[in-house]
Amino acid sequence: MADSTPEARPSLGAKLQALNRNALYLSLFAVVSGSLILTHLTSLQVPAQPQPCTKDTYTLLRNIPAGDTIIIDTGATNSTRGENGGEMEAVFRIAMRERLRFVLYTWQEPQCIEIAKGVIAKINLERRTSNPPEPEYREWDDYVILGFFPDGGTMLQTVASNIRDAWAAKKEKDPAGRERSVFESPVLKNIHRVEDIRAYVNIAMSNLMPTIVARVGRKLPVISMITGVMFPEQLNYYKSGQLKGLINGLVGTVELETLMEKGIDAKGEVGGHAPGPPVAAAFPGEKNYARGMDYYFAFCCAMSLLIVAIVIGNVGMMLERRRKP
Amino acid sequence: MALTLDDPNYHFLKVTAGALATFGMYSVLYKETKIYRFFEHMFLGLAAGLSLTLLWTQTLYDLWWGPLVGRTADKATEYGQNGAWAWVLVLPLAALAYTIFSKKHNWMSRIPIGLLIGIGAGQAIQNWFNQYGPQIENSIKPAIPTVWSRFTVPDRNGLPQAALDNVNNNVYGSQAINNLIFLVTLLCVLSYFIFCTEFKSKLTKGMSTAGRLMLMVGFGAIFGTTVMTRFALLIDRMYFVWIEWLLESLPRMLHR
Repeated sequence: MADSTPEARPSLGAKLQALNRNALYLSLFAVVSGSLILTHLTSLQVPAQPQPCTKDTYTLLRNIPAGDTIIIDTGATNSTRGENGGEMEAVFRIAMRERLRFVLYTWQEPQCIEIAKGVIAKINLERRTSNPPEPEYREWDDYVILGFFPDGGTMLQTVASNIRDAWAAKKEKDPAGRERSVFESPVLKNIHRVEDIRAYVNIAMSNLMPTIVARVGRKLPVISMITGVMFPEQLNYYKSGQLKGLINGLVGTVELETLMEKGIDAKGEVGGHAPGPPVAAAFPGEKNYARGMDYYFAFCCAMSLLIVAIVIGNVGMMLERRRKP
Repeated sequence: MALTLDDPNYHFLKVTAGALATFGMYSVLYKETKIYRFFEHMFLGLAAGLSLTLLWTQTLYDLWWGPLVGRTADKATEYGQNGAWAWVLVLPLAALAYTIFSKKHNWMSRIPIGLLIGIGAGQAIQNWFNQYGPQIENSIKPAIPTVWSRFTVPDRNGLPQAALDNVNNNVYGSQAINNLIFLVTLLCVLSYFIFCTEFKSKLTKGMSTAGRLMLMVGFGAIFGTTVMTRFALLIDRMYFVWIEWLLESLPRMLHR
């Protein structure tokens, strides 16, 4: 018994490798909560350097002429609001400020439309209460909601060959309350072929690009706003030119918000002042930093904590290996 | 007092319910308790009910019921539509899928499933090249520079079209190095997946091993982005609890 007592006491290396799980969770919650509150109280802004795929996204969206129509295919739910929520807010803000008309639908989950309606209402409230007030975006005149399509692949196949056939049965109420075909609305009345749509923006939690680019990718520019977990997989589509823009989860959202704030000048510099028409102009004086920037400092702190935890574990392992003969 | 959707009290109640559900779901980190079970089942019930409702209001009503029953002409727009009774035939066809639960009649479920598989297969044949063609095409890259007087790619911004075309059509030294790295990686990874023959030479063995290592690097990057996504989800929930619930919704209700 007397011999075994010193060995029963764990070494420092062993202790470092066996930190209490609940303590780790608690420290993560504390770090995230503290940094979120700090960001909220001080309006903290962490600098971001936009990647080329984010710049391409912003440049494409920013240069679509006012009054033209884009498709927003949403897959944002409350479960991925941390990434898709910020992406969706940013794309709605850009579309509304540029007076782009949009078609909203989902083939990912039925609840996505309800989530998107909430975001549109929130941004409309911002516009109503801004100084000077901006006009609200109105269903029918500025956007139409086509709802949920259970078989997106077949729907997109039909959209690619005959967009009017694909959505022929879809109806919306006009401002007078009459139910009419969506093709009578200002959003779609001039759309006869899928090529008349200026961009297809897909906000998604999983990789839907095989379905989308295969069906409509050759007919109109496709932009993917994806969660970080799917970003490496979608880089193939961006590098091969099948995607004209790509947003990488929360990091991409912050980059997009940075571009909305600073713009891209004539020389391609973010926030630069080179003479000549900018590649993609900023939206000065507007609410550009939003959900992405609200989360970004907490994200950086959480990642730092993770790195510290990995270092502690590895130091523990090295100590343990040195101790053993 | 009746609550309206714009009422701060209603908003606070709604957000409080969300915060309680968040606490309930996260309680599983400590251990699986009845509280976690309660919120898990509540979530499943709500999701199933909501999906069923939205399936009717957003999909079946427009795409099936509307064309089936048609509509009377609107006096203002004079827009009417005859009902197409044939749409009723898809109902028994779709209902056949539920015969899968009967041992005796489950063969009938193969009819709608077969139709769906046929549609999918037809689309797959047509779309395969659209999906992979550009990626295969993009994998064939030049590894020898066409311009030796300059190593890096010139700045494209502000160039006239002729100069821009010239830059785009040439391969500069830095591009050639990138392309070479890409091609070596591609060949090594592809060689790892050749299982029909045994590699005996040092070169092919080395390529296969290097391919495996490069795949591991790729998986590591994917794992890293997965962790980032999970953190983003946690941050969102904490934002909901601390900012939307306690710092925004509660004061708004109290200072009404």
